[in-house]
Amino acid sequence: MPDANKKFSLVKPSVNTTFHIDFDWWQERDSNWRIFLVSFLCEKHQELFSDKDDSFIIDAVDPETAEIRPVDGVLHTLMNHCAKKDDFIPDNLPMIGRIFRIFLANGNKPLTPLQLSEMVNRPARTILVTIGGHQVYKGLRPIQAKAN
Amino acid sequence: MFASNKIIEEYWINLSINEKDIDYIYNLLLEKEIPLSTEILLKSLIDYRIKQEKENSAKQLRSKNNVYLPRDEFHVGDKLQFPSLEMKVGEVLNIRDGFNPDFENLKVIEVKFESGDSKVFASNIQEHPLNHILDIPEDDPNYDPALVYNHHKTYLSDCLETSLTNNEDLVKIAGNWFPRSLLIDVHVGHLNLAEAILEEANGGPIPTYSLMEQVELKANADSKLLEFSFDLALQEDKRFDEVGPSGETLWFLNAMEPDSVKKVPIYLKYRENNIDHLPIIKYLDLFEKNIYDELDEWDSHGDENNRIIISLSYPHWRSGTLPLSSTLEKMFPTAYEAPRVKFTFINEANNDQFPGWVVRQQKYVYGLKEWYQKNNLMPGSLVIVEKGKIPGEILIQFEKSRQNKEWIKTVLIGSDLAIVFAMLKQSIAANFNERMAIFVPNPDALDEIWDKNIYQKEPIEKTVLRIMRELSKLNPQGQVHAQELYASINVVRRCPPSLVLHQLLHAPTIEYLGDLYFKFEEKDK
Repeated sequence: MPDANKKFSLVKPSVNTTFHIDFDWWQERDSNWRIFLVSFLCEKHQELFSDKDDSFIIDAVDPETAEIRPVDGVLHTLMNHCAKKDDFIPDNLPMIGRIFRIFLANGNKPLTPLQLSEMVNRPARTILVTIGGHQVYKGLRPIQAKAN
Repeated sequence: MFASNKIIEEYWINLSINEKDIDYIYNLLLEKEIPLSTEILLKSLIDYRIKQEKENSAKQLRSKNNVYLPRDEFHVGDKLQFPSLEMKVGEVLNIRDGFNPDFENLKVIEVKFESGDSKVFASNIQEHPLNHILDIPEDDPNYDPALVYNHHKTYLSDCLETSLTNNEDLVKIAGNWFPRSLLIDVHVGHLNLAEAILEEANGGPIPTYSLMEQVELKANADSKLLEFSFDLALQEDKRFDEVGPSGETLWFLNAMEPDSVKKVPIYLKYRENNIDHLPIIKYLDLFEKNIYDELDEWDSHGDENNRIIISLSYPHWRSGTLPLSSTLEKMFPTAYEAPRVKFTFINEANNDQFPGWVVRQQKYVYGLKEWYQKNNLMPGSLVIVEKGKIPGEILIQFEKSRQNKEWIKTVLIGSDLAIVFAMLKQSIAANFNERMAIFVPNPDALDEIWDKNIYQKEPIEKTVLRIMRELSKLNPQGQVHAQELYASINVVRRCPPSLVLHQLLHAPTIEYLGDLYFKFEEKDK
């Protein structure tokens, strides 16, 4: 469940601030966000999940203990399969699109504008100004400290 | 962590041979019908043990423990142990179809643990690392017979040898084992004939096959088995000794072996003194490089060309022997079992041949008494030994001295059997080590000291001080070199260099001056 009490950090982000895709933020603001995510699935998985609604659950198997963990089917498949494909991040995408796919491909592990700079071949400053401002693109946001 | 009963290194380190192992070896020998060496038996036993343990662990783990493996299918009520949860036991409560595109036939089991907790696990999935938790990794060195043999052969061979020796149904000869029940009886008449033949050959040595021919031993059986049976009959008869080097079985008549081979010469007898060798090694390394002593673990290294120069000590000079120190041991023939090995010395100067004996357990080489006398060698003379071209032959020589006479430390014996050292001019024949050189004009008189055990009886501390006192009179500074003292003490009692050094370094009245020189402290002079 999204944390309703979550507050924005008042600290101004820098090139060393870590960013990620904030799915909770997205869920709160865009009811079509899952449909948007499904569009990122590869052809095979789009076909496989065609008869399911966009909020289906997958029984994820823990790689060490084999315990079952119910996970969001679209996100899990996207991050563990489709985003791992070589052609998932085309060169000709706009910067925001590329950054969004980079986070999907790396399992949404936090990255700083400095780190992203090398990956998208743009100055860190430019990335910071784009994703660190008031306007939030595709849920790309700084990591928020949990409100007490 | 998952507690398995896999073979770990301790398994081999602590291995003890049990009845099943002996049965296995016995059956192997019966099946092969030929004598087999300890090495072959051990390799085979390691193989057998690994197979047994693999089967056992697979059986035990699967049947008793009912370990949860994700590849298996389960039923409601199954009790399982979970490797990832320190083998906690849980019972399957529910089973449902799972959904995961990666695992087509996934079943999800709900498990209730004894603690009351419930968890859900995957089942019926073929691809998961937990499926292999019971497997033995292919590269595990404890399951590789060749590696196990290489790493543990010394201990395991000893272990196996002891167990096989204690088994009366098995016999060993020249390193090979065989069931006693399958042996052919050898009549005592054949042994009597063998004795006569060996006596004719001045005691031997004669190989088994040749003796068999000469005594006309025949039987309706495999010739190797007959040879093995004859070897055993000879071995169990005290008249015969096996004296062959490794790989050869040669027989010699015990009665015709030299006394000094059967019995340790008085000059080489030593009563062990326990000392800590570690602090002494750095001093021993300062000794000159031609000092070899069978009583010390420390040894000079010799040279790479297998040509070793040995400085004779009095006990070996008088016994007609050489020390079988760890370095020299590699030069002389050895054997798997025979305590005495006969070989041939070749005098390099004239190619004369004469017999030599390696007395393995007591660590000396006998056969040089006449050669020392004939060439006028003395304690301290440098003797050169080298491996011959044919295995079992040792070349021996000495370098002739350019001087006829030299000032040499000479042992003089009083009527009260007290000894005194004096520097006197003596005739010399061979080059010598100056610190080891001691001229003994009357060895027979010195023998009385040895026969009466005069110095052997007293504590070594006392002998060291007595001889040190005598030697310190030979120079105005009263300084004595440790190696010189070692050589001189050995004129009256057997003593290894480490013990001499230990005494010198621990005596409260002796001062170390450096470079192995010692002197009495002023007040004790």
